[in-house]
Amino acid sequence: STTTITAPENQVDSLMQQVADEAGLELNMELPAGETGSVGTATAASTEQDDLSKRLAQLRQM
Amino acid sequence: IMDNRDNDENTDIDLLIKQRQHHKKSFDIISRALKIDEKIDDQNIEQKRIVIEMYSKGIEELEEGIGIDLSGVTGEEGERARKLQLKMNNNLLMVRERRERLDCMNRIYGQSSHLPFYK
Repeated sequence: STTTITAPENQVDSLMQQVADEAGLELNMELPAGETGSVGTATAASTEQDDLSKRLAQLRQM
Repeated sequence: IMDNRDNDENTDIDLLIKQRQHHKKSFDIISRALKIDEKIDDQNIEQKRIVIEMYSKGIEELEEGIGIDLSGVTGEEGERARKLQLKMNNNLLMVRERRERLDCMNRIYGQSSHLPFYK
């Protein structure tokens, strides 16, 4: 049997924020206002996924 | 017949919006995770656990987005959505790989895990 305990979402979020604060990192949990209502274009989405690919590929080489 | 066609179109649009929403959420969380990961200290177990948790959330969003059946969506929108699906799938594999590596590093540096982040 599995003994995995799932931390409540808000607990995880606040912990993430806490660690980020301590590390002096900008986490920015909320989406910028105005962006929440729109899903953007497929082209923009594609570009964003490309951006993730590039950054992930760079980490792979480290 | 017209009603059926309208319904089909609505369903297609719903699928595209759903996909776009999952993309957006995955992009949002993964890019924030990357921002931390890019300057992470190899020995900072706590930071890596946070990043692992963020990647896991991103993976969930990618999986949900990729799981949307777009095979019936026709036209240019359908083509674009399927291309996006492929890119999301590629990133899913890369994020999983990165998460594994961070987890592996944490195991090496030793962890007293009282918070079960990664299953």
